[in-house]
Amino acid sequence: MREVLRFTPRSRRQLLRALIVTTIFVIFLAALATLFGITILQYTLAGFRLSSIVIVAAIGLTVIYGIRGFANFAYGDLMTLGAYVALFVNMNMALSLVWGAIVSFVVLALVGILLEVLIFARLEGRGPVPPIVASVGVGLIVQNGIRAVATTQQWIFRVPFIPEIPIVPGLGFHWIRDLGTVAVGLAFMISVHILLTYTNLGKAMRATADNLELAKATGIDTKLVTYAAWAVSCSFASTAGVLLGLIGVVSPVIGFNVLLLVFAAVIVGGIGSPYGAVLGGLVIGLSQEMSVPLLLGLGASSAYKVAIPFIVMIAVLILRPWGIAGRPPPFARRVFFIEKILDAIGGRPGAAQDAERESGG
Amino acid sequence: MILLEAQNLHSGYGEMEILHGVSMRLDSQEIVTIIGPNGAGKSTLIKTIFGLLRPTAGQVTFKGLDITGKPPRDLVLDGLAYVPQSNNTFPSLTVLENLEMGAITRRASPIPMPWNRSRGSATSPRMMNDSQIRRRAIETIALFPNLRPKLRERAGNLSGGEQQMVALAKSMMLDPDILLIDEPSAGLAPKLVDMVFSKIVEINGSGTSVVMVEQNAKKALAIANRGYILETGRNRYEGAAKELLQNTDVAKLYLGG
Repeated sequence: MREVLRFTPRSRRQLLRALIVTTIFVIFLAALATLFGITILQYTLAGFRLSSIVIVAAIGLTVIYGIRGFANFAYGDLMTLGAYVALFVNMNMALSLVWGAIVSFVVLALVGILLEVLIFARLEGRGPVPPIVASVGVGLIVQNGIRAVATTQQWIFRVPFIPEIPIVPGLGFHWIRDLGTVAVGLAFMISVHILLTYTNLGKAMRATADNLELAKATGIDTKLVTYAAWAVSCSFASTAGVLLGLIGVVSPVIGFNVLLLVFAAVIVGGIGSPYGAVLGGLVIGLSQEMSVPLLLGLGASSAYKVAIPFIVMIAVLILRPWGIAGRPPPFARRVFFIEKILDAIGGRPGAAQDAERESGG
Repeated sequence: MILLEAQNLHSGYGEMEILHGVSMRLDSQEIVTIIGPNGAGKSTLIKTIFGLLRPTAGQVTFKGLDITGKPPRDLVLDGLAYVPQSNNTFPSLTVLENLEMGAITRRASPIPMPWNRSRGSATSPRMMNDSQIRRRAIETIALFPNLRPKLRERAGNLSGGEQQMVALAKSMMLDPDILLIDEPSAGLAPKLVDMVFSKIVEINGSGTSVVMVEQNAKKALAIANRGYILETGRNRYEGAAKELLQNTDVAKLYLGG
């Protein structure tokens, strides 16, 4: 048994890589702070806040993509629905927003299972297009249903008033908006990691995402796994929606407005990989918020910040079309130009072995 | 003793019927190989037996009980296992996790959930908890010593031969009565083919009967007790493996002279 529980080279390698990336990022931030003043850290904080929300949503979106093989365009509106369910508990039942978030989490999990039973299970085996179209329809129904019931008015969650805490002039944080959001994001990342790595349900989910036919033949209860995936996906949507409402206002389009950002995060990270969704969410959220001082410095309006994540996405896709953490397709192993450039500059480690392997068959 | 019997099976994909009445039987402790040219319906036969395809006519019995059209999950619980031809491991799972998945039908949930559909958790004495599954995985891996240092590697990073071993190990997790294997030699170098076949003989020696579909007819007949030759969805020849190897018609038509 000891052999099984050993600290493997792979996990050591991953830990090392994460440490290196974190160190580089911290040095990068310190350099920026000394160059442009301490305010840059404020934008970084906003970036982490946005990232946490995008990450929670992107994980939920990518889980359903992995299991059911289609992009759920209703996801933005499911986020909005989550925010409104929490709003209902928060306002009409006069309970704390924490209770609102918990009720919303459970309700949306049930909504997810219901969607699978009523709509998406019936479209199984018809390719990816019918469920996508159906999800657009679901999104429209949810969004306009919310408009019909709750009007188009903007709402604000009732949370206790806490003033922003200044650290130094130009840099401060808010307990709920900043730290709360980031803490929830971290908690969701950790729980998804535990789910996927240490529970049988999570392993079965990864197995089903890998190969549905084999999962069936192995005896995995793929129906149960699909329901679980919907529950996870939609409950994550609800929490992302509540967080969105928390940092801004609650309106019928809050989820829909960030849907493209969430898709960008999923694509940058590598479609179908929850760990990729985390990386993608960080890249997208940080690039949007940290580009503000740059834009202001160039004399442009900060409203252009919403375009930056997509420029980053295009750049990533040129270098790695399968996303940061995605599995490269076998046919496209060495045709992309970062490798070509590295080879031209003077070879990269492992190039010789690669060439040998290729010529050897 | 007859373990598995398929009688007059008609089956196929959708409208297209591929098997037009195929029969076969497997006795206990046997290795039976199913050979024949491409498109003969070998894989279709094995998939129909395992419930992945629904037969339009005919019957499959296992230990005398009718299992026609039973879903794979139930058959795994009954004691059958199936190794598909390609993509037979979960690439993003580690080798150990692949093995754990092989035993998932018999996993007793630590929380007795009402919706837990692993039937008969109370009735079956063979339910296992997580540590028993781990122990079983270590036991199973003893049969495949070269996988031992790779338990924590992702299956997708292993070589083709190693992946085939993982697939066999995964299917042996529940110590099935019958192992259905679809073309274990597909895409492997000749040296690896011999190794995979010797593993299959070893598995058979441990008490599991084997039905094996193979392109590589000579090597398959060499390790099998009996063989069936299919052609265009019908039984063509059947008999003891040795006789088939010596039969001049069979040799000319199917063994490449």
